[in-house]
Amino acid sequence: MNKQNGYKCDDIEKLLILDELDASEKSRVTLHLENCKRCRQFASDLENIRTGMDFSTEDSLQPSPHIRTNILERMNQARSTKRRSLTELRWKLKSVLEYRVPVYQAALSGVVVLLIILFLQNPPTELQFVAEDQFITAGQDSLVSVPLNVNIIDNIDSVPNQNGGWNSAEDSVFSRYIFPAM
Amino acid sequence: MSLLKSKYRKQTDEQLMRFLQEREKAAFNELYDRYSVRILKFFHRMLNGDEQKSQDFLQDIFLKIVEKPHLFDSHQSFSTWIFTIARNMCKNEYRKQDVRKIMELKADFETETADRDYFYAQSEQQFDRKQFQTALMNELSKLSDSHRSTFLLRYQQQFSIKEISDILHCSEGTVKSRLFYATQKIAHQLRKYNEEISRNE
Repeated sequence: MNKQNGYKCDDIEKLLILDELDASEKSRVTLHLENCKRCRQFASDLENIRTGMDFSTEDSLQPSPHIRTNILERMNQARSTKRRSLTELRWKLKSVLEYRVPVYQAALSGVVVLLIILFLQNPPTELQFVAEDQFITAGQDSLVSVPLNVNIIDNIDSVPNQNGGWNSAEDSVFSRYIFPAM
Repeated sequence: MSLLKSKYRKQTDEQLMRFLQEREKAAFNELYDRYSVRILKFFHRMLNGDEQKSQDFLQDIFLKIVEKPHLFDSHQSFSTWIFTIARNMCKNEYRKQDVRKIMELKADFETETADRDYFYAQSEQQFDRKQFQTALMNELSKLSDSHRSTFLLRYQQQFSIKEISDILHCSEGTVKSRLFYATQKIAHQLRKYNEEISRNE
């Protein structure tokens, strides 16, 4: 095992293979190579391998021209498919809006009939009467009507709420029954 | 059009990938120009000189990139990413067809042929670099998949040790030891050819 400039031949081989030397390593390797025939031979072998491996030397091997064309075609297809699906979606929406599809017409007429029936069964004036019937007046001079099933809150002196009620429960009573009846 | 081309020519690979995500054809063309030959030659060596399969793989890899550009992480280097995919494709191919055995048989046959050629060349004193290259490729095909890909990424594709470790998902130490083993083995096997080259030069 030859040892020159503090480097063994094996170390030199490793350094030559890895080929990531800093300036000081480079000068020491050069010095070693000047004095070591074995490492000089190895460096020469390595150089031949590097030259042989250079991919630019395989000139005959080139990508087939069809590959680029095929890929570009596929890109076009993907783009047109996307455009087509957008057009289809737009057409469907338009169909719905213009009632071109029979199922939507039937569904829509069903909804309209249902609304008419509901309206005829519960006219708005009846709703008011029903609301009034559910209440009894707390007293002749009382300003507030209270439904029977509402718990009277003990803290009646609290600040009146937005709709004039004493608390949130009463407030909802006011908004739901009394104000519409006024 | 040429203005558009020159615009893309100045972009980095990673910027081109961003354009490709927006389905820019010119970005694809530029990336293809930059990488198709490199990738093809990598496949060619990894698949033991099967040109047809290499061309198919080249098409597949670029189709993958075009169809799923969102899989590219912009913080990553594009070259590392594409070679990781290329290497994985070769790995899958080995697994799928168990080509290693076939390749070894083929390599043995080709080595014999190369040796015969070598002796003919020696007798005719016509030994040249082309034959050295053939012998080099034969030696390369005898290496294991991991040694071969490390060797190719270093000497064919000129990647750094760090980049190779990223592509192969292993430590830099592993890359160094694989590279050291593969290079020493090939250098030793090709010594006779190297001596011939030195004598001719």
